[in-house]
Amino acid sequence: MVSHIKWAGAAMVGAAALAAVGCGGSDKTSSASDAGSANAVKVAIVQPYSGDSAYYGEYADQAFKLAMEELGSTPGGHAITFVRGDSKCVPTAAVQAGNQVLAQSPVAVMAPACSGDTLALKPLLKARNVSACSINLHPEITEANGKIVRAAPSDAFTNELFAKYIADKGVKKIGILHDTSGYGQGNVDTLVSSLEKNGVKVAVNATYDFADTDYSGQIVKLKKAKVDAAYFEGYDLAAGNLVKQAKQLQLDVPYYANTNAGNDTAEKAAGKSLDGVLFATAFLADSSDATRKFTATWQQKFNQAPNSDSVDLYQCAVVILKAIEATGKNATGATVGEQMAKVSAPGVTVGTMAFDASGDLNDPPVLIGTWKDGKAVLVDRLSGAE
Amino acid sequence: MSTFIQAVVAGIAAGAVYGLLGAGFSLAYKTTGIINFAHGDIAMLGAYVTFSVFGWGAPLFVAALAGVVAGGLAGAVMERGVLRPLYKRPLVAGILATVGVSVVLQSVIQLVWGSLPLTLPSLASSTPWRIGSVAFSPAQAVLLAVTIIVSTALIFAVDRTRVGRGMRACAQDSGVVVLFGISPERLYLTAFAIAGMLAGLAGALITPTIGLTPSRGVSLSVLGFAAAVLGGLGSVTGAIVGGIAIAVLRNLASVYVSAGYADAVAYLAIVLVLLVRVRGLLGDDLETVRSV
Amino acid sequence: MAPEERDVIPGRRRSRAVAPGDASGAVGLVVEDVVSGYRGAPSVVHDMSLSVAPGEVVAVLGRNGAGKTTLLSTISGVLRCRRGRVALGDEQLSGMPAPRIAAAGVAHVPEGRRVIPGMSVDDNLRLGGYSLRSRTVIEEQLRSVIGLFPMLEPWRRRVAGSLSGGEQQMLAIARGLMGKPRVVLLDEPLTGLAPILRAEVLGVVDAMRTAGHAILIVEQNAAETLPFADRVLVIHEGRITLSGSAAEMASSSAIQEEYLGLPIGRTAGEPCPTREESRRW
Ligand SMILES: Nc1ncnc2c1ncn2[C@@H]1O[C@H](COP(=O)(O)OP(=O)(O)O)[C@@H](O)[C@H]1O
Ligand SMILES: [Mg+2]
Repeated sequence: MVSHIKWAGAAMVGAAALAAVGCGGSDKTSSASDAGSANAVKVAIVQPYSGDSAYYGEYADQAFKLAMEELGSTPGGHAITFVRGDSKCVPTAAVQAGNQVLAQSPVAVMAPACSGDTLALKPLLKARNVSACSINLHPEITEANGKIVRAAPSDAFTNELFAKYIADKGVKKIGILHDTSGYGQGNVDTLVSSLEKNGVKVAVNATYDFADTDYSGQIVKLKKAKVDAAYFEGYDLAAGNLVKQAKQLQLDVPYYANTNAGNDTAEKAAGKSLDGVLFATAFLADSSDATRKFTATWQQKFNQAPNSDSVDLYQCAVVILKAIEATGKNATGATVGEQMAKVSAPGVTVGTMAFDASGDLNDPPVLIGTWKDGKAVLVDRLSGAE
Repeated sequence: MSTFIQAVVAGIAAGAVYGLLGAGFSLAYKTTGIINFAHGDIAMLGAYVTFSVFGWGAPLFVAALAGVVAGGLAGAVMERGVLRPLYKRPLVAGILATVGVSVVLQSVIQLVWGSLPLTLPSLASSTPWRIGSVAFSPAQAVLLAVTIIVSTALIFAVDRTRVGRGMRACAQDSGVVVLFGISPERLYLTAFAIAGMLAGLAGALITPTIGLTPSRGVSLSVLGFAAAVLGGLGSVTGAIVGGIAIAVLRNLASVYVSAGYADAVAYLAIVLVLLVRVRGLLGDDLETVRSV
Repeated sequence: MAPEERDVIPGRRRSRAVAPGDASGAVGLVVEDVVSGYRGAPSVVHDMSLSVAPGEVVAVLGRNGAGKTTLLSTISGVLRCRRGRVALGDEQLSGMPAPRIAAAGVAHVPEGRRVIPGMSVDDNLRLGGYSLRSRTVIEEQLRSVIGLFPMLEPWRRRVAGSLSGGEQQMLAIARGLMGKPRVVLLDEPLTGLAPILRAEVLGVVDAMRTAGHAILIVEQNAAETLPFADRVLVIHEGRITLSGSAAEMASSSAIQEEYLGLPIGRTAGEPCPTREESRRW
């Protein structure tokens, strides 16, 4: 993921490469209950378990743990064994991990949290006829017929509403900063086209790299363009760092941001600088009874605040468990996929999770949030029933 | 015009830290000939230690000092434990070993602190002062001041003190210095310990801007290396100037060309400088000629 | 030598003052049955024994490749003794690492001068005083050495690499004296120098003797060295083949044939010999 090495010579590339492969690329297998039972099925979790994004792997494990406590650990009488693959948030690693875990014939896959990994895995899933649940926001993730469902709104959908919201705020000329990841690129593409449809001019659309340690050049460029609003896309830390540095450089315009600006990490990085920044998200801890209850449970169980990633992973875990349950005695890749397509399960960000023909959530949640006194608060609900 | 000034001012503040990274890089290279690819990871280790000590309730300033000490220890342990047994082998063995240390440090950091990004507050407020239409924050001022103080002390130490002279001499002729009572092994240890401390300091200073992630060290190594090469490998002053030049160039490129090309422009500039002056901006003529 | 002359060497940190009339009399450099050579190669120096008293100049003559440099490197600890011992007074040197031997009072002025080319004359000198540790002591010694070598005065700020060969040789010797040594080892100090400069170098050697240093000088150039030496050793293939007082040797037919008849001294402008034991880091 740190793919910034443009010049520093072969040895430095070697360092990065070694760093990528060096730390435990194992796929651990663990059993949730009696794996020897006749009805045992395998569920694959392909997530980054090492590298800078390893926390997604942790979230995914926690999500299943919580979901199985709430829904029972043997859905439809099937004892579940997990097979894990370490996708490292690197598409090539994701393919390798995917090959390893799919060889063990899982009935369903929890797709990796990094969009690029999931896109790389799609052909493998298709070849093995195994269905997956994803939390990726990239528009091109889902597949019809329950092959890949998504327990989160797509960026295309979110940004269409968000762009209109921004336009309604009277923004005429906006500057955008985004990273060069698959997600960052895809997210901004949908936002830019929606903004332009709504008559907002994108005066600057600049990128930064994950490896960057300073964004002042890009921010000064926004100032120079005299934009009347800014949109910052970034993973947790970057989302906060961008906002903080923009404030430092006195880019005195309203800020808009992607869902990550609602995460705790962003708030830790930026502190009060995040106050008033408007971000589009599917999840806000304090937006409904369901989210409040979930937040309290997760906090108490894992001693950390949930964010939209952990919530969505939990929703995926619920979808997978419910689909296995619905197959009755005969859980295979094919039958679990059929059940995923028509699942109707209780959600957190939406009251009921059900998927349309293309695999996207029906009535996906789009909330506008902001930070106030260190707390993420709901400003507006653009879509999705509580 | 104010856009230009703002880009330059922000670049100087950001570049000061790159300069500190480069200075440590240069110092280790100067005495031992080793290009330390774990330098940035030592910086991250310093930052993580700062994070923990701060978390235990120490004032940020004290925590940063702990980070500096941790960096120095890491540098010393690395020299003694990893590099020393390799001194009799070709130089490349030592350099490759630093790549290994980099990987190990990243894994250790991830094991101890996890992969979830962490953050540190900055030593001073980041609410900017407005000077004309140019913004400059107390945090940036502290950063700049620390860099100036530390690099001045370092330059003095290398140029004027007994041990500094020993290091410079050792770089040019490690065979003869033993005849004056200088122990190269001891100087290597000292150089790596000081370089580690500089890395730890840079780590503690830069993390309020970039946050803490285990593999961040790789990009810090790249920056330190670039600063040191541009300034002239082996020159502490050069590394500071080189670091600032890189940051300012990147900023100007982002503003006037395109952010996507910022790195390309900055590194192209380095290549051009090196084509004209093989020894870098402030590299020592003779030293380079001898070591080439 | 009169005992009080030793005090001309200003107080060394590690010096053990020998009381006048000390019974042991072990005050100078002693080399006993030393065998040494280079890593992974057969011994070059065999069963070498010699001694140099304070205030004495001992010249070691020998052809190129005879083992002269190897002998000096063994005394200064750059090479290890394979057998035998080296001592300074009653302090055993063999077995110590080279930096400690230097600090114990042995100055080795190496073949080819080996000044640090990128550093100034002053810094090269200060480097020679490294083992004195204290900044003020080093600066004091710098002044006194410059006093002994007034020709260095005008070059003090110049980069050593820009000095001529003779100037570099003066610098190298002066640098050796910076550490307040008791023993000075000079490896072919005359090689490559113009006659005037050779005389100047030998004048300095003479002054050092007067100051009470024990001096071991290695040369191929016997004609000029002999008159300055108190004693002479001739070595061949790593063994001492002849020894005696300078006067005896000057009249020895062997010496006259070998060294005085056909001087083997290298000509000026010959490149510096390659360094031994050199590794870049
Ligand atoms: N670095 C070295 N490694 C191996 N052998 C060496 C080295 N230096 C010198 N020798 C060998 O040791 C012998 C003595 O060399 P040396 O002491 O330099 O002679 P001298 O100083 O009398 O000219 C020679 O045969 C030479 O080839
Ligand atoms: Mg010789």
